[in-house]
Amino acid sequence: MHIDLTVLEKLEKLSHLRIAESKREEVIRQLSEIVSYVENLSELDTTHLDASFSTLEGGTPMREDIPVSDTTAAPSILSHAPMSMDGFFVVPAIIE
Amino acid sequence: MFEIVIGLEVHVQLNTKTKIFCSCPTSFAHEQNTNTCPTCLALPGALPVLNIEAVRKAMSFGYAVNATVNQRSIFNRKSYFYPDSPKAYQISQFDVPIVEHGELFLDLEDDTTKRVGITRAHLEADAGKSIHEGAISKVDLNRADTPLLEIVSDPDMRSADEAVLYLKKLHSIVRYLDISDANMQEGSFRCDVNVSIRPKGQQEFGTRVEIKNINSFKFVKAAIQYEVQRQIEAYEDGYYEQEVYQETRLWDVAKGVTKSMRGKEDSADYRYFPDPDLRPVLVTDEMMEEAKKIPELPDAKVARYVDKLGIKHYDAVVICAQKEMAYYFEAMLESNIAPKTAVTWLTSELLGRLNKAGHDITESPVDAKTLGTLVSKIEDNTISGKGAKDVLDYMMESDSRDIDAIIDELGLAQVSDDSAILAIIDDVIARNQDKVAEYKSGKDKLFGFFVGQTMKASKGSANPAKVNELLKERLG
Amino acid sequence: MITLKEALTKSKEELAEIKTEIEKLARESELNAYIGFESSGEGVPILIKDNIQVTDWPVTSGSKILQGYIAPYDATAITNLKKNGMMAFGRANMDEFAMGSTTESSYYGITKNPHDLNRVPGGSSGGSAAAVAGGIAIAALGSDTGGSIRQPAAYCGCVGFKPTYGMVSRYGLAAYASSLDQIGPITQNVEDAAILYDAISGHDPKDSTSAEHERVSIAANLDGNRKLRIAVIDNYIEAASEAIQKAYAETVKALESAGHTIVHKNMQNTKYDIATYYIVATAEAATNLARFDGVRYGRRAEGSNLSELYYNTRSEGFGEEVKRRILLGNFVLSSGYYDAYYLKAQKVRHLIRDEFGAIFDDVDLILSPVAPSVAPIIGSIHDPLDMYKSDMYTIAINLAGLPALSLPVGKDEETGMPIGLQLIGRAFDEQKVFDGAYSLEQTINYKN
Repeated sequence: MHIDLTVLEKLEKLSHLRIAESKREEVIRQLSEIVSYVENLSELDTTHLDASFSTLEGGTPMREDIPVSDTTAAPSILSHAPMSMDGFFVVPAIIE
Repeated sequence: MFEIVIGLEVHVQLNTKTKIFCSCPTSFAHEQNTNTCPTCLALPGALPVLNIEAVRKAMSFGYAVNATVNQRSIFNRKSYFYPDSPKAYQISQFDVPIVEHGELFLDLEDDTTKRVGITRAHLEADAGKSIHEGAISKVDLNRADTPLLEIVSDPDMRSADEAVLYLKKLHSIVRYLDISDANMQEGSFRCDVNVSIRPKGQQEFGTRVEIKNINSFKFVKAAIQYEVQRQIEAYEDGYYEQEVYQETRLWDVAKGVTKSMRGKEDSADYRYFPDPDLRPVLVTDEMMEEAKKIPELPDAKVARYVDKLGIKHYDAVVICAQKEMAYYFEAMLESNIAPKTAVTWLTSELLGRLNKAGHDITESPVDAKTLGTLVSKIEDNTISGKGAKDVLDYMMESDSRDIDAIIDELGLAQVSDDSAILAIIDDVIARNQDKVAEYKSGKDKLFGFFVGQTMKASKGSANPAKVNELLKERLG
Repeated sequence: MITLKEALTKSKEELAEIKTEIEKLARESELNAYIGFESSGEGVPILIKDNIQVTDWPVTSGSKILQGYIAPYDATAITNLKKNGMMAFGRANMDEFAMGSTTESSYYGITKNPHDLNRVPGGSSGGSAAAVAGGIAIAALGSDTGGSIRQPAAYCGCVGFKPTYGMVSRYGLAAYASSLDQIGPITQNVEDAAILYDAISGHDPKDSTSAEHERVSIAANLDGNRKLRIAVIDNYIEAASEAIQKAYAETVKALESAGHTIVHKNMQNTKYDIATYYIVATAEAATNLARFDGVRYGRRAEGSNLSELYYNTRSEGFGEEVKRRILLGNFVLSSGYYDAYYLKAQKVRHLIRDEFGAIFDDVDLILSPVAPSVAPIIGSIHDPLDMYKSDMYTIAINLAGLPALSLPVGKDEETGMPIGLQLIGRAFDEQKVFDGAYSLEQTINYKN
């Protein structure tokens, strides 16, 4: 699978990242190289294997529906937040 | 000419006490961001732990709609960026949901039912809220990670009316199960509508358009009607491909139209994969057995009312549509009154008065036990039907629930005593000998005159049935 | 530097003095192993890798994007530490978001190897290992996703242990790859590692991937006299440098002389392990790092609208390696590629685990190299893929969730650099791993 400019642009969108113009070719090359390398897995026969894997046995633990109030995390985070107001996190408007 | 195909996706906010993946309370918070913790704030290092009650409620729903409850289901990460989604992924269920292949039945106007398939129902985490204010948006994560049950129907509905019936039935079931407050205005019962059209007879489905932002059943109907019209017009004008494509449109309440949301074309690669912070959801046989213990649901109640109580199907459907009304009705029956009479007094007399005052059954000033008792007083002849209405009016306005006292105060005690009534009748006959003669010679209509005179002389307190019976005896 | 075992016998006053001394050494040190000198709790000071949350500390994960973030809670490992006579002192430098093998990607400068300041200490827990080996920390916590405890321990000549996946809570560890990450001890010797591991391990209801395995004290049951069957992987060692091969051969002899039985085995080509790791880890990482968006905490860049804010914050806040792995992770998860890459890799993990399983049917432990060479010169690895390939010996263990301990076995004559090897055990078989390591340590008697 070859990574090209179109693929990079799509990945940038999904990642919400912008690679600098001067680095784009290099990043494309690096990603292509890595992707080509990891394609070595196609050499292995995995037809009979389960696509889900876990090193743990059993199901996810389930906790009882008992409320616990955390009164320290939010005040701390809000006080150090890049922008907050009246207990809200503030961001520039979302443009539709 | 055209067939309308509708599928519905409803997000039901479950009424658990805590969030789905952390122990933060879901109860109303007066301040923003106070029902939060590292997990729902999406801090580095925070991890999710599943709420068992959300699982139980999902399972109950599954059993209520005859669905398969999957003993093993998986949570996935669904990736997208939005400020009210702090992890930039939503924990949801994708290819292995907890509930699949269910059904519910629409109560059609002609008293028949139509089956609508429920493809699946899965658990997921709700997002927080963003409030837009000009150049900024304010984010509150109190609601973030509240448990949601997303219920997806098969595209079985063929009209806006059917869509509304489905929603109403689903709404009713969810409330009977007490798994959600299911309040559309408050956002605990959110409907997204998928609409497409196809020429009658065509096998393939047309292009499906999703409509969001509808917050009442009335608007569901209006939005579908508008969208269907829009799609048909595009088809007929030859612009179907250009104008109707797979997208999400918003219902604009003010303008009564659906609007395209721009810039959404390739945003939807959600990159689902099993969430490695959670293990598969495995429910035990015991949990499944427990979850099967659900209360009697509307369809079963309707059937029971019709078969065992002998009331009309139509009336049963009306009563069972809202669980509070069904419970009210059943509580009334504890006074051992005739079901049919109870129906009338509930749906006609009480509801009539409540509607006038702008109240719902849940706000009724008169409780079921009291109303039941009142109706029993008619049946044991203590008062007449009309008298009972007066008592009800009185109770709607005052706090007194001592029915006997009210009957006394209003002087409504009905006379049913034979000798008392006979005394009045004899008096009326004695004073109207000419009419008696006319009646006996064939003027049957005069019977009414004697009834009227007797009722008048008794100041309305005589039991009309008794009056009729005894007059017949006397007059022959 | 006093050992952890000994330090735990000291009085409050003595510990205060020790801490003062450590702080002095750390501040004066040119290793840049410590990027912060915060304190939390009371007891024997333990250096904490800067991706483990400690209340009120500016926990950066070695990144610019977390500048301004102050952790409001303690990781469970920290809470546990504090219950066992220890305290958290200092934040250790690391590769940004634990993605790297040299600590060169930290936003807070490089860390140097105490044995040769021109060489890397390894990564991503480079700060932790350099400090312990450099005599400016009694012991440290690191994290290991693909070798990030074991490899720096080997490069720096100290002991590093990665627990069985699930034995130490991940609650409070800034996630890199959720199905692979584990917090573990980096210490001066094997017994200290057992003590520190005992202190931090245990089931945690806040972590849904926490194992419910019964806990027994490893340190109290440490037995260097146990005779074990130990596998050596012949085809692995062939790919390592001469120095490593030599140290390996000597270690095998030492193990035999200690009474253990050596069994020869081969394993599949490590290229499959590397491929599997870089698919699974990047996929999980891409989504784990999506929360860093400048909205609620950390460093927010300028942006006239929300979209700009996201793009600018993340593009300016993340380093090159992190960006590469996020792009790669989204690639392997994206529509059209998911089956061929991510699902395929998850299937291959069964093969990897089964292969280990087959070997463990016959032996108690596996002896393996940790890295193909001694610590490289700073700045000598340019190509990301070359960097990835240097993880060849460590990553399969994370993919299979097994416990492994790296300890120093000798020095490279030519460069003077330490050489470490790892002992790998069955899942939840921590005791055997420590016992085997303890025995080896006593036999070799390595001096720093």
